[in-house]
Amino acid sequence: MRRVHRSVSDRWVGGVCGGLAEHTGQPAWVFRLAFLGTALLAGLGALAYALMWLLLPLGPATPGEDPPPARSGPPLDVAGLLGVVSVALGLLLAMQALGAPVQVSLWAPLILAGGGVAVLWRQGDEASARARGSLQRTAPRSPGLTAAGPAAPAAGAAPTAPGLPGPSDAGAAEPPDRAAPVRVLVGVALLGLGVIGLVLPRIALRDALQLVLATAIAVAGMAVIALPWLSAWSARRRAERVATIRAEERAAVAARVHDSVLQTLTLIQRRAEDPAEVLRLARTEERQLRSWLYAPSGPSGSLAAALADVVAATEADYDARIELVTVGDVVVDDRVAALVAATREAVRNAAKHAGAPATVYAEVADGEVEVNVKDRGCGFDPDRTGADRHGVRESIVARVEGVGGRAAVRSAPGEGTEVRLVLPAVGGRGA
Amino acid sequence: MPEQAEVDPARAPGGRLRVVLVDDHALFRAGVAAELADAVELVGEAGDAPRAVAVIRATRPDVVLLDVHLPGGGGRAVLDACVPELPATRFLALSVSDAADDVIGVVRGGARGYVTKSVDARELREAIERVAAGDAVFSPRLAGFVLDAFAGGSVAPAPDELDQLSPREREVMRYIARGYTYREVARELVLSVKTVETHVSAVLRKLQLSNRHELARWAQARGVV
Repeated sequence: MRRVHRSVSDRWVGGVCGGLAEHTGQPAWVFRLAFLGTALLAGLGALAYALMWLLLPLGPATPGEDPPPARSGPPLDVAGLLGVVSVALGLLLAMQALGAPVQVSLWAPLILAGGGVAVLWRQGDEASARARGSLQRTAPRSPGLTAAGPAAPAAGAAPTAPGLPGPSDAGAAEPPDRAAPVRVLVGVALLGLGVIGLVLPRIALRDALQLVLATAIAVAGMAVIALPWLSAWSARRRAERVATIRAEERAAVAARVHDSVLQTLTLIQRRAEDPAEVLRLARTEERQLRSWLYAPSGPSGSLAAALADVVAATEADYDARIELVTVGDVVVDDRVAALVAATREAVRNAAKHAGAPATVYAEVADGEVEVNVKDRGCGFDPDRTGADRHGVRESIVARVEGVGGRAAVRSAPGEGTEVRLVLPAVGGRGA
Repeated sequence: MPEQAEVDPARAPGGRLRVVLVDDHALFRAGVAAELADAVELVGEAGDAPRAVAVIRATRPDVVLLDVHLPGGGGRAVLDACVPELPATRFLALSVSDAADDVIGVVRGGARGYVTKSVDARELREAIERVAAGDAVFSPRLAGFVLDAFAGGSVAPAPDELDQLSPREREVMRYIARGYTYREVARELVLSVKTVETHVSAVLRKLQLSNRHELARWAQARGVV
């Protein structure tokens, strides 16, 4: 059996009628009319409505719909609220005009004050819905330690140091609700007007002032007493929130460490007598950990990501050290894919034959992609025919020229090798 | 190896360079110390920022090898404390991280260069000597960051000279990003090595002083103004 709750989506004031309607299957206006009608019986309906507002929990957002009304749109449902208040006032006046014994001087302030309370409570709902919404939103962000910076081309990830997850992120994720102060102000004003209207005609001004003073002193006293508790409570809540986020990030790190780092360390201990294998394992792990921590490559499907894959695979296969530097990025289409394939050959050649570190530089500027693969290895004589030369011509030069690019290979024995590939007129700058 | 003679011997100091090594991993310190033992005089070590500041103040070294990530405020805290009062001490940042904001953060904090920890012993020695001589040390990756940060075209032409690279500086950066040494860049552009060094130092100055929004953003991500 579903519990009755207040509706988030169908509400005029507090969502009580909408909630009842969702629960019973009756149209909401039936309940609205009923509450309005009974409100005229010495305010019974209003009282009942207020009670239900307090007692019923705010319902979940309608499934499939986007998060609860964490909106900073219009400051108030002014229309709905004023509608209710003015209808009530109008009914009162009508009844009085018909000769029914209604004290407008009593009822009008009460309705105003009730309206004020409604606005304030409504704001409370809003705040709790927002809090819930922001929690839901922060949850999926936590698995990665890196909060990817907004669209920075080359290496635009804002790394959080491992083990130091930034709890401040959680608060910053939610834009402040700018309408909140307005709502609170309107609520307090309505409430104040109602109280004044209720009190003033009945007590002399001097007494009223004294009453206000006494009340203020009492409230201040209560605030002083309650303040330590309140601040401790809010601090505890904040701490709990931070602790939750920390725990999630810690779990993500632990999973990562367990899945890869610990496994690799175990493997390394087993293979301790094979230095080459140990080196390969350590390097592979380092590369994976690094890419996880710093996410240097671009979004998948981009040139930067494709080259990062090429470099990573080559490093793993040939036990070489290759540095990749990318400036700008582009989406990989067929022509860029050919360029990447040619780059792979060049990088593999460097790793296989050079016997020295290599640098891969890719730059996307003004619709032109340049990839440069340079090593400081043994080099070769391009004029002498060899297996390498054949490979270079077929797999690098022909590939790039086939898609309208240029390729140049520069090498001399002892001078290292440099392969430069240029692909002009490439469209669609990558994100 | 032709790069061996990269650093002009005329500018190399007579005695051995005095170096302080700041890194929170004792193992890494030991490794670097062993690699550099016959090239420089290691006058101090520190494992966190406050101790590093104390050691640097006490020893006044020529060069500080400074880890970007340090307990007690990071390399940035060391730079903030030492750069203003010790103008003769040069800082070379070392990092495992390839993240742009790390690099930009320390360079804007006053480091004269940046190398990754995977750098080999010979390159590290060269970098130390170069920094000690007052020049800037750019890794290919740092050059890539600079090209990215100062990318033209998309941004409105900057009124400030600090916000743009000259065509020559851009060219030099591009060669460094491709993996060229300063000497190779000089040969390629038909310049003297000294001129290349001047261009790189000019880029370093722009990197430190420019207010381009990419740099500001990266710096901000490190809590740097």
